[in-house]
Amino acid sequence: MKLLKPNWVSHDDLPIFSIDIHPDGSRFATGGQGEDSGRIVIWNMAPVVSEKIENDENVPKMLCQMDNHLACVNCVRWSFSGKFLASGGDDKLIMIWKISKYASGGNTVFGSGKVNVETWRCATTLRGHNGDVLDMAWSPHDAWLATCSVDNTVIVWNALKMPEMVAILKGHSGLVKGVAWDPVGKYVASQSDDKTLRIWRTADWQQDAIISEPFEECGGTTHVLRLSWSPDGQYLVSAHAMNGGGPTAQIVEREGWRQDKDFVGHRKAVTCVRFNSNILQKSYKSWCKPQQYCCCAIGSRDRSLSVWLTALKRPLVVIHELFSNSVLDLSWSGSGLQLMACSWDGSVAFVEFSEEELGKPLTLEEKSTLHERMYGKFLSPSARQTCVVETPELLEVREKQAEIKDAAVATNQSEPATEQPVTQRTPMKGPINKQIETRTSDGKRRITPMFIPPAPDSGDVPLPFGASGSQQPTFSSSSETKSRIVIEKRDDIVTPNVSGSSNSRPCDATSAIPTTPVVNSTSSQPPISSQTVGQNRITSNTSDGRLEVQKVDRSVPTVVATKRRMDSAHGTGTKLPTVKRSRPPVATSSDKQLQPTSLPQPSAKVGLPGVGDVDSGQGLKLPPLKLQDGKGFVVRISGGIGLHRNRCLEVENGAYGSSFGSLTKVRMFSDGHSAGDMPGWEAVLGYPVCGSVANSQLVAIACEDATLHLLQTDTGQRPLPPLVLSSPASRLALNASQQVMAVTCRGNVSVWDILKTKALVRNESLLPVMQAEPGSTVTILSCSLTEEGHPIVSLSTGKAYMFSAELGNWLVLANSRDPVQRCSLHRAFVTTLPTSENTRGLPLACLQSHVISGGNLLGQGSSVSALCTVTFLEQQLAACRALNSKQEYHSWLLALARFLVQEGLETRLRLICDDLLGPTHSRAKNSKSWETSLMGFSKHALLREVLPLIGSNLRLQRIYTEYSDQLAMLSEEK
Amino acid sequence: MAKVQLCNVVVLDNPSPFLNPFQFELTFECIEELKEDLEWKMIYVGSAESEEHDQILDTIYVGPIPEGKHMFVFQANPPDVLKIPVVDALGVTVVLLTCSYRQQEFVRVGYFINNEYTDPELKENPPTQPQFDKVFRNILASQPRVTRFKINWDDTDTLHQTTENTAHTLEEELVNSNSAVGFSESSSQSAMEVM
Repeated sequence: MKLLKPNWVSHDDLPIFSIDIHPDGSRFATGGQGEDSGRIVIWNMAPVVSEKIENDENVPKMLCQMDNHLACVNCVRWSFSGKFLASGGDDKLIMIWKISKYASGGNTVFGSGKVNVETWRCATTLRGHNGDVLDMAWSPHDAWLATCSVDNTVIVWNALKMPEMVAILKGHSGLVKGVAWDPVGKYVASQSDDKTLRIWRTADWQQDAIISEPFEECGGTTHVLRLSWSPDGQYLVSAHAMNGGGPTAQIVEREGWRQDKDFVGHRKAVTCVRFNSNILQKSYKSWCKPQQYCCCAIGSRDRSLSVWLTALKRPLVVIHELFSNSVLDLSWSGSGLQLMACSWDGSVAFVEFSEEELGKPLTLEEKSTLHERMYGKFLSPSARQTCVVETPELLEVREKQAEIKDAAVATNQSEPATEQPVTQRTPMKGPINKQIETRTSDGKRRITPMFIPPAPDSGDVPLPFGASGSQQPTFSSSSETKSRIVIEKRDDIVTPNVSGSSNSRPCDATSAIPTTPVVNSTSSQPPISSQTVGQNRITSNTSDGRLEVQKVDRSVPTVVATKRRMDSAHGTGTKLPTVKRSRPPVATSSDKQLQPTSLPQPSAKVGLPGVGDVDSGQGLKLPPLKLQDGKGFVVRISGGIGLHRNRCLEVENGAYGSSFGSLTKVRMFSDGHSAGDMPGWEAVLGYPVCGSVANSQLVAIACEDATLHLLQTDTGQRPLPPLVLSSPASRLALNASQQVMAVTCRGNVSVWDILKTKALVRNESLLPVMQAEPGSTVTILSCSLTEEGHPIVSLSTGKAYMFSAELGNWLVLANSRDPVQRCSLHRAFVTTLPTSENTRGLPLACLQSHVISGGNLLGQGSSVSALCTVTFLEQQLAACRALNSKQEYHSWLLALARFLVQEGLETRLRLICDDLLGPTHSRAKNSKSWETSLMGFSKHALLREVLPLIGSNLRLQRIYTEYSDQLAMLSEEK
Repeated sequence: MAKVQLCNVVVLDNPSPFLNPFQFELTFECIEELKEDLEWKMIYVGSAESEEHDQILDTIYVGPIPEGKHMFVFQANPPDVLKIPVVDALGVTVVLLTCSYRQQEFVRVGYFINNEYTDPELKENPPTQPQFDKVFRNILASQPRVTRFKINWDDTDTLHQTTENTAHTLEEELVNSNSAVGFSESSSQSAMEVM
């Protein structure tokens, strides 16, 4: 055992009320009194553990100090995920902290000379207690946070949806000074000055038990009463209890809440108890079987610390006189071998054990197996209610389901989702590259400061740090004559947003600031940047988002544009920086002409910078069809009948010369023909062919004169004279029902039904769907025509569109860049369709295989991604309907059902079931509004497939029973 | 909980001629959107002996302030030399930056300033009437004195704490320390500890 008191861990000698080691053991947090506030400090753990690191001056010891609490911090607790730190204090507030990385890096605690190596920001503030918050605890899986207060209550917060309150546990009649969760999440316990310990059920948040006998003789002499639950869930150990006139820590057994054992020996009241979160194991020589036990540390007002193993009757170790005042909190590291304690005397102690002394911790799997053995199936937060199977059929269904349970679903189910308990942040932020100065009516300046956007919280879990801590931010002095912040002065007269102001119109001040720069008084300023001066840099222009390349000359200082006249009286004799009239600091720009930055650009003229060249005004320009060698090509046609099973079409430009120009030869052969074979049919065309498509019914040939020739595949006859295209063809497509699609170079799409000699789509422009981001180009990846004659194009933007002639509009079928899709977790719920070589049955999959690229699966089951999944699945269903793809519709419908069942989204599920079930009243058959089939499937048959899925979630068993009964009734009627 | 934390102050253009404007680049962090503007003041302490020589160089409003980190430059003209007592023109004095929310001051940063001639001749024999255009101002930027006050940040109009007594400790200290004229950073260090 190693014992150490690191003297550098201190709150300037003020009391430290709470300590907690980060789950990954890299940091620990202390909470307590600050100079004129509450104080939280996050410390580096490594210098505590290793002396070598402690002496290394490059390794920071203090990582971050937060003085935001107005009054003493009584408790700090890391979430199990390690992402969040909760703090509660005398200011009645609970704050949830998370790490954030500002672009500016480190940070000083201004004026104190201390350096914050990390930045932790308050993600949420929880307000609800009416008095000092004394203790807190995160529930297993971080689903809830319980906090207790001198207002006699315990509040349970929804940790997944801060600041939502789940329950207020009322019942104590005195200050509540400790709170602890049962490790399997069934109970939460609290201990109070009212001389009781109460156990509350998490199922209904009602009181399950009240234990008062061991506490009858207790007085309220401790600051806190931090109780703790053993990691195997079997024992709850209280803080201060009395037995035979001596202070004890009472052991309460889970079984019937029996109280016949206690930890005795401390001479004053026990303030805190903390179990090691590991279940330990050791095989003694005398025992044949390794014994499992728990380990518990107890701190007391008698300034001593004791460590107990549940396998031993005597304490493992007692450390007397560890502090000069009461012990106030204890924390074990995740590994279970390190223990820290803090005291009112303002110091902390660190104890390290060896595995021989303490025992070998069980692995997480072994621990959860143990939990499962003792308490049944481990209750994950999503399935927290205890459910009883109510009907025998359901049991049967469940057994069947268990057999065929999708492995993917099982793996996806876990993840207790702690994404973003952050409330919606204010959308309106200040300018990020300048400060804006206006004047109020009384002549004072009003400054809108420059907003420093935080870097996106990457990963969120604090990472172990390397040598990065050595970057000490400089502060305070600067010989620079000017700040890098650009000051933009405006002539507007504003009203300060101050309540005491004489001419205040409340909250009106913001409206006085125009959101776009006022052209006359402002100009674009170089954004702050010290390093990039002298280099080319891309500056996004605020007015229209276009990009331009600026070259900033080193010799031109970044200058403050000012309208304010410099006071000449003060200006004389001083070396004021020259104030230049505002002008964009642009020296050169490439071949493109420079746009005056302040003038708004008519958007039409910008057109589609990405799409090819902009052709005299607006419109698209797509590459025309072209033969690779310009001479000819062969098209193979399969799928004919009888002899003509496989044929090929040969086209040869300039095959014959004539006095009027060259002729193009078109010939149709049976496959495998030899050189001397006679063609099936033969034709000539007067203009060179630039492209062709063919199937077993029809051959479509586009010529360079922008005509489209149509020929029967079997006979070579022309059903129609050549069609004239509005511009040369860029893409052609055919379908089996003799419909032809042509995309012209100008981006117009037409579809004709040759059999019916009718236009299905007339010269519809691709312009609306081929909008490119500035600087990129959009190309067509593929074109196709559905069996119903709807043209489909998939684009390089990752999107695919279908034109609906009925709606006269383009529909989005796939969008791989849609954040909704990217956040969606649908993959685990889709049973892969048989991928036969013939993808014709799966048009949507075919289409999306083109465009879905690099969609990344976020492994987080947050509520947002659940919503995204549902939205995406419904989009897929709509796309399948539009494409009339039955097989895929079926597959996506089941995927949606599976997802809704897993998430327990009852209302949505009911909507689906109601539609599938249809009207159930006796005249149902006469109902006109309800179709019995959906996409060619019987709705009832679909419902029969969906119901077993519903049965797999016990919480939805009532829905299962309800619909299966009704379905059975309907089938009987038939 | 204090909604606004001052993160950093950079003194710009320092040292500089006495008649140059004061420039401070302030960085602060706000943990919750503020309903009202902040009011910043720059105060030049003309004489350590009495407050009546304090000059408010400028008062500005800063807002709107959404949640997050913000930065701005607070620039103000130098003090009116006519209002500075001749005896206090040179030597050590103080500039204060204060910030208030709803007319409650919650943070005050003080910097010591040393004003002196750079011209050795003038140093030796200072003219009876100070020649301010030859005076240089050196702000002891590495030693800010930060005093924070608890105020009521909420909307309710209760608890109005004034802490004027602590606010002027800097000036008292100044009076005490003014006898020691030596203003090199090393010698002043020991006398100045963080409050």
